[in-house]
Amino acid sequence: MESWVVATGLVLLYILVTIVLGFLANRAMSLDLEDFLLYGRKAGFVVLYLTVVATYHSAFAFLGSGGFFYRHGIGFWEAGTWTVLTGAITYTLGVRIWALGKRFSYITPADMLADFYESEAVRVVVALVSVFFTILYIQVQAQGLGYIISVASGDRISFEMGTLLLMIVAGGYLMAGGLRAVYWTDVVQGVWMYVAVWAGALVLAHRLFGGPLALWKRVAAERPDLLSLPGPEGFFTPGMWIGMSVALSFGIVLQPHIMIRYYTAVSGRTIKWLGATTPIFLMTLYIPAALVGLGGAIVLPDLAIPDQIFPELLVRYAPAWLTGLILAGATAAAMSTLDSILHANMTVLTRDVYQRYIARDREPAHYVWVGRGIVLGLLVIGYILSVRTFGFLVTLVTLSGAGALQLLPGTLGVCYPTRRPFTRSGVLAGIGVGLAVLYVTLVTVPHALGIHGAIWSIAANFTTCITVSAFTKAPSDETIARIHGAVEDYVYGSGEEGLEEALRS
Amino acid sequence: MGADGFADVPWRSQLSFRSHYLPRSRSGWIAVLSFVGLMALVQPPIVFWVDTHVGSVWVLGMPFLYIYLGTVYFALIGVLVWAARRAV
Repeated sequence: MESWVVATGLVLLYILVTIVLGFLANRAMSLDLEDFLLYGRKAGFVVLYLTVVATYHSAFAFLGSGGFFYRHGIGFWEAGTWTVLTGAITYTLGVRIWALGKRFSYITPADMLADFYESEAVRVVVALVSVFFTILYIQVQAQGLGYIISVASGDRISFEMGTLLLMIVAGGYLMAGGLRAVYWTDVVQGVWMYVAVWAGALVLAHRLFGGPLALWKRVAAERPDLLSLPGPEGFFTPGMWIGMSVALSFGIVLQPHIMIRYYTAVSGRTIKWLGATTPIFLMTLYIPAALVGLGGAIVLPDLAIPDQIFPELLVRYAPAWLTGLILAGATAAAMSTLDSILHANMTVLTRDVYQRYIARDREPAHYVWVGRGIVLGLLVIGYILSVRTFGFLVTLVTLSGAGALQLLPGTLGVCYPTRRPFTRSGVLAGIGVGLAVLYVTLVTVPHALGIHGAIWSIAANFTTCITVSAFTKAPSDETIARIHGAVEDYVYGSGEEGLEEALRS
Repeated sequence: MGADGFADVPWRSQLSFRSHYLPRSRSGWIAVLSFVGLMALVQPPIVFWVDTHVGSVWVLGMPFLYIYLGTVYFALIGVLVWAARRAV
């Protein structure tokens, strides 16, 4: 049997597994909105762990990281900083988001911000920023899926056809089984991608160099420029280093597909352990990625699309069965993020726009069907973007994170009580100025003074938010007492017992 | 518990909260200072200083920078696990 048939067949077999899981999730699902959107707020540690890591790591980690090591060298090992920061943010901020979500039945990030700032404008702006910037993330996954299937099949299945096929599958099981289907498939995908990336990198390192240590020696001898900062093209300047650390930690956590996961946890303790331990998975996935990217720069130095380095190496130098299994892992990485983003955007648009402004007080089943229609629309947009515009996967994800980062001041204002709370005017002005500065520092004067646009924009956002908040009307005393009081009580008062008691009373 | 389900605690009457940005326990301070201190080791300017001055050294057959960053990352995770075990 030809090797491309084996490789493509294994990817398709994996897809069949996800379809079966989606079908089973559909049988277990009720047409209850909280079950469809939030897994009934019952996600335990193991399921939540695997869905968070599978969602966080996407085509970006599986393909884009290899491409970035290939092009910019060891500097990309700074990825560890943003994965560890993500854990710390989950530990401190995530647990507060969970507590407020449970206490006040929030479903989307905009629910929480609109409630505290007493503003429908805040709700709409937060919803739009969330959806707009995560659509870029849909593009990243769609591009990754297209790369995988076209490389696995030796271009017999085109990039466009591969993208379309895999997007339909991800959208299909999401529409069938809601968040339950996403979580169940994420469990399989999380394990599969981790094993696959390690197995693939080690096999390649042994076959091509005689082992990882010999690989490092070859890189030092032939491409020493890849082993120092700021890298061959001078990319990793101090400003870029800090900017990527911030954009890819805070910026990713504040995206709806991660924030909504906090709402779904069964307890706050689950969230804390999630924050403490997810960096182990997230960070160590970049160890084999370094071997792939740096080794690839020696073996295939003139690759036109660096993001394709991992599948290209596998197809050329690994046995077909292994290539198929590993590319199925890459497919898992992309699909697990794609389905989560589709689900999050569906939730935001259904809950914050449709249910609120277009059709109130309908049956839950009605909203479930509307949500499915929204997924279909998002798939079409994502597909068009992925086949018409191209960008490096890491660049697209960083842009996506920098956009979502603009929600940081508003979110901190809700979750961290202070003596002077932010105001709705401050938060809205901050987001507006932050986005404008982001545009200027990414498009007009890219990364001015060597500092990443994410840093410029969030600095402008915070400055504006604090200044405007000093002169504008704060949320009412009742709201501050209710929401900040709940945070104070949960964190420094009666904890989860008090929260449960408040819900019962 | 009050009638609205909130615990009866002093902050309710004054609507002014102690900042949540500063830890309120010894364990909290240890966790925050350890995490911030370790994170500083993998951020500019320290990480660039390490690369410039120790970058040519190799440890266990791998570049020092690679080992250095990895070690600090695991130490940071250690701080988070320590905090979780103590329920900080």
